[in-house]
Amino acid sequence: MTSSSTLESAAAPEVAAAPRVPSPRRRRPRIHTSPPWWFALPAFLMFAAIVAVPTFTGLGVAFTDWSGLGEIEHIVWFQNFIDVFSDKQALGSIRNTLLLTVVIVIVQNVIGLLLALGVHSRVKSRFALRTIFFAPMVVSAVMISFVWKYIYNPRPDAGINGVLGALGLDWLQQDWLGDPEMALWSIAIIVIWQAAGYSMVIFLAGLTGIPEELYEAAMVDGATPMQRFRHITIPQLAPAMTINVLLSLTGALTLFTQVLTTTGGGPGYATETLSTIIYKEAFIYGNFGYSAAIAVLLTIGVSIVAFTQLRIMRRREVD
Amino acid sequence: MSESRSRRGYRRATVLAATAAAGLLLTACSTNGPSGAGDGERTLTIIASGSQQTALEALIEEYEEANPGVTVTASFAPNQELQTSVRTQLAGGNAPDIVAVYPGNGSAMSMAQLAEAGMLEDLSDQEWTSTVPEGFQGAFTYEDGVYVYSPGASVLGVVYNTELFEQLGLEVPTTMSEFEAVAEQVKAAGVTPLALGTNTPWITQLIPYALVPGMVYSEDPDFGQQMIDGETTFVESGWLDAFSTYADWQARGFFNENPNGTTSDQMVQALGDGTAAMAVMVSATLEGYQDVMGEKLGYFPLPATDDEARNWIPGGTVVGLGVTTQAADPELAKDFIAFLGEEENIVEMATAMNSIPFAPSDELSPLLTPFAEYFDAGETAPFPDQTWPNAEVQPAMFAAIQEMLGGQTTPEGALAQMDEAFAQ
Repeated sequence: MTSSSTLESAAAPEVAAAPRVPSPRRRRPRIHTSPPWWFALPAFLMFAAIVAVPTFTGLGVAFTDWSGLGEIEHIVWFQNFIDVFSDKQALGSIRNTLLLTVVIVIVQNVIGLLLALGVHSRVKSRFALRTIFFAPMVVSAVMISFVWKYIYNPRPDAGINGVLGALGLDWLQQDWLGDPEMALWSIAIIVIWQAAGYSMVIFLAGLTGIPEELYEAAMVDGATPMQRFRHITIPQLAPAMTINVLLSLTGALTLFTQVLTTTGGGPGYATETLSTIIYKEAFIYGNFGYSAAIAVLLTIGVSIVAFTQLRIMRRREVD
Repeated sequence: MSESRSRRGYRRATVLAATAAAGLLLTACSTNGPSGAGDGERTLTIIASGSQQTALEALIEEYEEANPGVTVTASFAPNQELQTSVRTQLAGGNAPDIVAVYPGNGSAMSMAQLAEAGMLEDLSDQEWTSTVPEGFQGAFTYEDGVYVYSPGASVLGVVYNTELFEQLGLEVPTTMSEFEAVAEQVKAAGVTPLALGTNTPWITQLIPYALVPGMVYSEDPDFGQQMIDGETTFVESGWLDAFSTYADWQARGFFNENPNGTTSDQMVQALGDGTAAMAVMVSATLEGYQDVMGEKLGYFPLPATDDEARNWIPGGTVVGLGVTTQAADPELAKDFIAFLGEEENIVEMATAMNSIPFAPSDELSPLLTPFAEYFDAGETAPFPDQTWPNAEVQPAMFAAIQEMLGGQTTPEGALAQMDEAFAQ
């Protein structure tokens, strides 16, 4: 009797948020069983062979000047890491990566949220629209980039410039991938165009999980649509926001495919990102040691940023 | 019940045994039989460049017919993939017997870099090595060994629209002044003189590569060595004339607008739809232009100076093949290379790669005929990157030229960036 009452009181806040018929599972006495540890062994071995061992080998390479072929001859300790900070290309790529990240994280999530709100309404074609907005995500980034290269044809009579010209918006025509001031943003547009639908799906899942009662109660209290959005939708979407920001953040910090296929880091070094530098140092220049050092720095950087972001946003979720 | 189970168990055991036996057999095959092709099964694996596919597939078939019991498995990859996957395979010790290798030095998959790392077998005792023209031998040799096979040289010239030239009453130019006059006339007719798509990095180098044989190498055939010895720099040499000409042509409106935003595909397209009249292009890629231009396609050497005697042409040894030191059956691999080195096979392979063969040949692609006389006269210079000491100069050049065309740097500034990369 006592035990059942504590159970009920413990479950109370959750019930208030989402009144559901208590599942029969809750009544069952809890049996704490865990599978034997060796069940995890195959997965662990796979992980070790495919992820852990190469990662630590790579870490080791970062302290050498290995060319990628033959034996490792010299250990240079921290020289590679020191060199990064006097390497104009690497520093430029850090700047480009950060700029891209800020723009992509903000714009992609805002657009994703707007799309989600749009297709969460009672619009007739909402199911078709959801599919259409998500569709770019199922195509490989390489294909998408090749298609966008055609769209970005700088000729005034072709691609996006042609459309702008036909609309009388000639002043908006650009040398999309060739202008060093523009190329980085052109790449951001590709990434956002492709990934906004993905953010939308996650926001949509969050929206679906918000109980109608909250809105109904707020409406009874006379809250305006703006107030409902501000005080119900946004806080309730916090977990979805956390995931979306995390995904777009890590994706943008390690952006590679779209850059390599559209500009190859050019014109000049205008769109070089940390990932393209890592690739080029290893596979084009044959500086595997240096490349590994930049990769180690990138890994540490992304981990710190992602971890901090998670800490901050999770705290907000609790509130 | 128990009977059926035991039968199943028996069957499984047989399958296992058979697999094991097959495995043993395969190992036996790959280790045994070093003496001449013909006895027993022998296999050869090749990874080659996409541009070698047509030629190699035909020759492999011939080789297999002539050598019963030999199976050659070839796969083909675009250049970028060769740089990444094959190099990784070489590092990991599981590369195919024969791999695509770029002659000379200057890229991570180049002959000199791979030979230096001890990844390639010496081929210097093969007969064909003596037929390589003198000016090109440097691209084949590292220290005293020959580490790459290549059937010929591709040249750089100017693709042009013969129909348009006829309409405008233009002649194929033989001096720089004539060439620039032609470009002015084309421009006056409202057509882009030269299509240029430097969004695709390797396109950036074509114009300077076409100019330096006349502006640098015909005066100074040893220029490559002088650079290595530190006696001269890019910025102090005729390279400055080449880069200045490049920038000047852009200022005079010889190129389409926004070359840095234009891709190599869009260049082909511009020649195809007649919005551009010419393009400096390497012969190995003429096929794409042939597809869109058909009969209208013409090709002439770019005259780099007003002195016809100085106007050498650029010839780059085309991508070749090397035998890896990891080859399971190096004898067979070398035998296959020797087969490719037979005179008629050199010609067949070079022709299929739109190149001038390093062997006497009667039937040259008519497009290449105007270039052959330069070869006979020894008035050619190899693509300059084949003597560059590291893999960083060429990418530095691509970026520097993009910056020059984008107005972010001058010809001097661009060459200074290359000198910096060269010194590394």
